[in-house]
Amino acid sequence: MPASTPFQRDGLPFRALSVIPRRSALAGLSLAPLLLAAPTLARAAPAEDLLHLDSYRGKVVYIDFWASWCGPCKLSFPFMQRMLSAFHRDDFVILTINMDHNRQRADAFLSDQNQDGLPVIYDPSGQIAKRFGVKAMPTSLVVDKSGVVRFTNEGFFTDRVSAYEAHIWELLSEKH
Amino acid sequence: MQLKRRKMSRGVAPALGLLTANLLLATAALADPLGPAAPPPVANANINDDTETDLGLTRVDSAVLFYHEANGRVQTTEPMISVAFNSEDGDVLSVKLTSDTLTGATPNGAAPWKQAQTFTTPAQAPGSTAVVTSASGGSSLVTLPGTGTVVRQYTTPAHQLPTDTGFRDQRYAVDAGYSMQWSPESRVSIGGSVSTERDYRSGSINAGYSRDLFEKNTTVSVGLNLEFDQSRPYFGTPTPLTVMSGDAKGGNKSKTVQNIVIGVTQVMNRIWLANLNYSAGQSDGYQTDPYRIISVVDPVTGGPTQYLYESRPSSRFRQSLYMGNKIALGPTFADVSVRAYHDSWGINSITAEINERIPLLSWIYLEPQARYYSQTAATFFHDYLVSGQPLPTYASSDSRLGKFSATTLGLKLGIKTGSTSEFYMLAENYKQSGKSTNPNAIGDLASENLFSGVNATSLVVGFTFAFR
Amino acid sequence: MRNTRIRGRVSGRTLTALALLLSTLTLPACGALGVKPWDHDLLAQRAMQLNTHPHITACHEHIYFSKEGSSGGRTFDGGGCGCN
Repeated sequence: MPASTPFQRDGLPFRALSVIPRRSALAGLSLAPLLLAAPTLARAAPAEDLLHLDSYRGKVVYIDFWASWCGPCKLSFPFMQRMLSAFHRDDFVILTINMDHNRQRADAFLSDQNQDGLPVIYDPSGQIAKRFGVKAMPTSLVVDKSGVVRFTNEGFFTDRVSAYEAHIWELLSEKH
Repeated sequence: MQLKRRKMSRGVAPALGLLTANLLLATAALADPLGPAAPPPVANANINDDTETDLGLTRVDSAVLFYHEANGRVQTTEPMISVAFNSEDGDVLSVKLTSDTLTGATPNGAAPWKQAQTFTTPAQAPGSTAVVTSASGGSSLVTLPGTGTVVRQYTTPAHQLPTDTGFRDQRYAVDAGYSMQWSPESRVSIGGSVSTERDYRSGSINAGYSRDLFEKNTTVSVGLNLEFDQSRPYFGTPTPLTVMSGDAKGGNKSKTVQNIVIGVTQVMNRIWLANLNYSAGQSDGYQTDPYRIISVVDPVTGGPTQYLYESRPSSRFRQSLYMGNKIALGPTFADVSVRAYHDSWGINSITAEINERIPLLSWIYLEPQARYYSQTAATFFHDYLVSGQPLPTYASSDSRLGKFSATTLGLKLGIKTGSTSEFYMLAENYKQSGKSTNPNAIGDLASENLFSGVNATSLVVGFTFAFR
Repeated sequence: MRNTRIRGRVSGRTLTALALLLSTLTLPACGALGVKPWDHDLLAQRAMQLNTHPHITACHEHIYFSKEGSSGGRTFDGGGCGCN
């Protein structure tokens, strides 16, 4: 899709809608949210650029997408805090991406968590999440030392914490 | 007498009690433990900005319902308490206890008349020699001449709706349910309930499954409910359409109910959540009200010639289609729902409800509510039967099976007493209206009020809190 | 009475047909509705849940079941933050 041409300008969706039989009108109407989202998709920068992931080459990066209104996120933060202390080494980085529309609510969450040392990148428009293909909240991605996303965890479950830790260990023990 | 309320199928109710446990998991939250530091002020902060979740918490919710019908009719006080244990991964175990104390008068089914009417019921339970020694309010024990049988009698003054002041009754119920995250995309739940009172017992089990689709924007769910009820009327079960008397009656009766609910919940957009449910239920067995009668009247004057015990079919198939919506409109939240219902007894109904939660301060909200309900009569509903005409197979004058409409107006108040606790109160007025006088009624019945619907006020007061 | 019965039968079939029609129409369309997983902020509000006060709902169901001829209809799965 050419980055400079917004989807609706070439008129195609509107022409298509006029020949859709009435029966499918419901399906047609439901395309409206997609049409509205289209311009943003057309102009988004590559995800890696948004996070400057190339600057973390040689390190294992744990990326966590969270929001103040997300219950399991309340549990994932202590986990990440523990990981930061446990894997306190130069080749391990945690990046947290906040999805709140309201910045103050995100800050209130962070202050309640008493978290320390976890960097927060704000993504209220959802650009970064979209480009990383986030399908659930929370989502954590573990990127290996060559910059490849090796593990994607949808949701955060306390009974899977050992599996999450194992993912990090595995990637840390790989040579760059 | 008894049955100030129909204690028949609780239908979806047990499934509801269990499925609501799911709700506790579904809310997401801002972590806000009651710590020493207050969070920084949030723009547009109001009581509706609450995304607290119950993950990992134990929630206790207790409430009392005070229900009072006008004109000396039914009154009940119903305290309830529930405890839900939420695991951190979304499993919920919940238990609810309810108790219900009922007093007051219920229409006995007879039509009012321009002269006083006297009604006769047994004074002792079948097989028992013990006799009710002090019949409550207005009835008296009479020994029938000739037979020496003791019966209970009560009299209704002229032009008044015949009611039986009945016995005080006490009901206890326990509901329990367990709901678990089966996979990241699905939930499974099971539950059961037991309810008991002097003249009725009910037990049920339920199971449910729900699946998320399309990045959790859609949830489809199915719930099944099986119930077994036993009716144990104080003085035995009368044979339907026989004459009302103080004679000994028959034994206990039972019925079974099977119910299925299929639902779709859809996130329509960021501010609108819609829910569509189809439910169907089959009840088989004894569904008659053993205490109710119907007047058989003279075809010219309309005066009562005899009273017969009512009769209802032993099979009932119900269906309903319900659509509910939650919409975030700026600072307020609206709840709008509609339900269409039809059953094999011929009752069709439509229900429409709207609630609007309006935040007043950061810790208090008001929620006005309105509900409109309208139903058609069952095919076997009759205000009265006419002497000389052939008896129908089924007949009941219970206004709950008749044609009427009802309006509820209420106001709920919520006070946030902590990050996970709330005090709530709901005051409502519920008024049923039906045809009060029927000019086509026979004789002097044309000037009597044949509609016996309720006009009730209720108050629910509750407090809920959660802890780790 | 006979008219009620006939109206009742039509209504029953209509209800089932309507349910089937709505479900077949809406389920495929459901895929195109909705929001991104990170846009559930308002839906995560307590006030936006389908059953905010279970005891009040239970009281209503009890009263209306006891005083009216209809019953049932609701379930409460879905919505919310959509987490996990």
